[in-house]
Amino acid sequence: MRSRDIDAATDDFGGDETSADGKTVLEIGLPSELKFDNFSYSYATSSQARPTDTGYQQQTRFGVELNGSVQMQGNLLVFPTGNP
Amino acid sequence: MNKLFGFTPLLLATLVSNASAEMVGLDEASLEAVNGQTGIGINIDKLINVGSITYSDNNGTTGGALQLSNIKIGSPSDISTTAAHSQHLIDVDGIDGLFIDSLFDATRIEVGDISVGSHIGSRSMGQFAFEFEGTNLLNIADGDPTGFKITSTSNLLNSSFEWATNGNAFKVEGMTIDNALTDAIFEEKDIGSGITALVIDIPSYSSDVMISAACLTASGTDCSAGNSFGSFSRSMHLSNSYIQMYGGGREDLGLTMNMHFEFDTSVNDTGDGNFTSYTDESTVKFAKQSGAIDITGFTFDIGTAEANIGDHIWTQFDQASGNFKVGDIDIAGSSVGEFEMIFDFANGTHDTVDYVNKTLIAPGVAFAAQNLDTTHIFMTEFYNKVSNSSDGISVYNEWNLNADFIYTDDSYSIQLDNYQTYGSGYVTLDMRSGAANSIDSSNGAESFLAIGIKDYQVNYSFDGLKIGDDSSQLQTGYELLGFSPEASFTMNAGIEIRSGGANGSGATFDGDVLLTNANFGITKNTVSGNGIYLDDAIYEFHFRDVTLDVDPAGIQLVLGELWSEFTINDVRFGDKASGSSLGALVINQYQTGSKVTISGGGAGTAKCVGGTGTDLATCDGNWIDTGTQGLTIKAQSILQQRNGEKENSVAWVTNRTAGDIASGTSMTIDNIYTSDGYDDVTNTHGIQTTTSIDVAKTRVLKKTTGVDSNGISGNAGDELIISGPGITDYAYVDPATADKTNRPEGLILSNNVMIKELNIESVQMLHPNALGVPDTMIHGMKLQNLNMTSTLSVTPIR
Repeated sequence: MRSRDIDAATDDFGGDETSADGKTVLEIGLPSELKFDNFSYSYATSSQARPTDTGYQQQTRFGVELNGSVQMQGNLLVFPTGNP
Repeated sequence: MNKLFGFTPLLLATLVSNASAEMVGLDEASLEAVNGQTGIGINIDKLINVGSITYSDNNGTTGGALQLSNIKIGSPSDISTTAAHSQHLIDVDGIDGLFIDSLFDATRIEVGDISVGSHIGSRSMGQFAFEFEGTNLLNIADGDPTGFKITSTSNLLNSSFEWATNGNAFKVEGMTIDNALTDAIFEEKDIGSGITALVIDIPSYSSDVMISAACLTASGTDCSAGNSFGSFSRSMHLSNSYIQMYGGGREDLGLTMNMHFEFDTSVNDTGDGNFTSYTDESTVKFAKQSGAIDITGFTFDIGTAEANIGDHIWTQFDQASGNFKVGDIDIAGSSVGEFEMIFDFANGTHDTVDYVNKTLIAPGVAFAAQNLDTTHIFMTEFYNKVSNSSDGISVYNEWNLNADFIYTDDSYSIQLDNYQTYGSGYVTLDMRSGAANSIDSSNGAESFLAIGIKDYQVNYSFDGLKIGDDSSQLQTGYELLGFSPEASFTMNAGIEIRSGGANGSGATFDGDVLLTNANFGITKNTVSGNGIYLDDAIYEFHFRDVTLDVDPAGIQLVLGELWSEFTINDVRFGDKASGSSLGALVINQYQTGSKVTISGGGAGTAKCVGGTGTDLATCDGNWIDTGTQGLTIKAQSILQQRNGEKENSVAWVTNRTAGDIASGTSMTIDNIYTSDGYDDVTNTHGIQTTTSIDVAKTRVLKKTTGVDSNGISGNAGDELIISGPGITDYAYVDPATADKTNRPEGLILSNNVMIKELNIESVQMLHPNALGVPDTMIHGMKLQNLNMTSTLSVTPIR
């Protein structure tokens, strides 16, 4: 992670560099690999805000479980646009 | 040098009439213990009362007077009526010179007032008292070839010091002071540039000080078990040091000194060596201290008519450079590691403004009874507790410093590189008591130290971190430690400090702090200076009943009540003052009962991150061994629900007219708070984080095939292996054949976060045409039962 000054003359983002030419961006390097080992979550809705509330009922809508790895390349660039 | 010492005849007569001495018989046994068989014994019973002593460097155009008044010397039992006794045995030896062996019975020295220039008679720095008893052996011999050789050994015990203002005192008691000056040569010397100076060469000096208690209390009363900061110890040994003194200050008359001091490091070979320690329920120790300092052009003058503090004592130096190293920082028995500061205080110019290193000290409280509402109403209220005639000390300080800070953990070092700071501002110090004089009306009748900070303009920056030594590659990573790489702000504050912590001795703090005209860097490019900055910011921060203790778990901060508002007018990308803006941020915080614990040792683990294996050889992931040293910070943040204007919220404002926050469209994450999850009332768990900071070897893999920014080529997935100390002394090798013992060092952050329940009451949108009535975009969000552990290793981007 760092701040980076974009120069369209030397940087190459497949053409996108022209829109960020001369700007300073926050560059977050994506990790080369993300490994998931029994990563899971469920999306559920409930009838009450808390499990301890009277009449609480929960219904799981869907669940996700991930195992394996994701290979990644490149950087995430963050910079402001529009009217602040 | 033309000094004027203003002893008035009347006061001198008083001194003579009240001091008495009598001849006594020789104490032969004691004389034999000193040297030789003959000598003179003198007993002195001192009952001294001096109206005033005045030092002046006024030459008719510049300079002024420093006056110490109402000086008394006598017995602590009754300084006005009872004499303090001392015995002095004097012997002259043809070879070893003059010996004076002194025994002091309990003695008290009081200074009723210290004042300067036009303040004399109206404002005072307060009353000072020093009590002691003990012995001193002084030997004055031929300096060979010139000057005098002086050896002095003093042992004082049952000593105390008191500084009192307005009926309240800062007291240090139960002091034992042992000093030894060995073979110091006092002589007049030519030190070049046509200057003749008194030169004191100090081949060896040691000082051991123990303080059993220090407290803030009503003047004349002692510290108690529950009203004490704790106890302190100090052992310092110097060698090869010197002091040069000559006449003439920065303005005509005055005093100038050059000094060199260096620690005698031979004492560090065993035990704690040169050390400083503070003991509460447990001890924080700074052991095995070493280093040296050179101070040139230190001047002492009496200055006049400073805009806010008036006439003053004026100290300034041209340069102070050197290094200071603590070989072992220990918190409650766990080692943090080594710390070193390499510093250079010297004159500098920033934005066409010249900065020097000077401190001006004046009597009284400079801003007493002034209306400071234009700064903040809390400043007016703070200074309305004292009057123009109240005792106190007012200080104007200006500085310019370049430094490197080096932290070493288990022999691996990380450096905060090229730290630069400059600025100026005012500080006032005085003691007060009682709830009516406190910024927190819930406080009791106890005495407290009131510290006022007025228009303190602070600027600092550093280039980044270097892991290894000064030749290593610069890197970021400071963001993860919460360090801003560059900041400037003006600080105003009213702070109260009380002795006694949450448990027995310790300290308690209340305060109101305002930072204005602030700009904080988040991250930056050291070469271009471009980065991400929080610009045109105002940070208002309040804290109540914050206690500081040291117990077996470490340094404990119980944070009482905290609330703050941080208004950032522009989050800028690029130039810190004109870069593209992301909009404005308004961040409110409100906590009660939060805690922070700081301890040594770091993560203290060896583990295989992202793989399996039990040691470096068998680990197929990243083997990280953080050793036995390091730093651990545990925090428990209990976020409270909205209470009046106190709340936890974050608002992002864009689409403004001329940067005016009120004219923009905002999205607010509103009323953020923690709870234990059973209801909205019970809130004891909060956000609990444990962060360990270490420096250790870590695995670095090449992300893409090709040549990196240092010109070293490798394939994606290759491992970086170090071959030398230079920036390019490394190669990318197949992980299967990599020599894992030569992996690079990195900053290791081991973190755990636990939350039972984090609530967001709503997410609101507010359009400027909505007349202050927001639309609720999301009503109610809860994050429950989070327990996340992570290990981050931070190395340079290559």
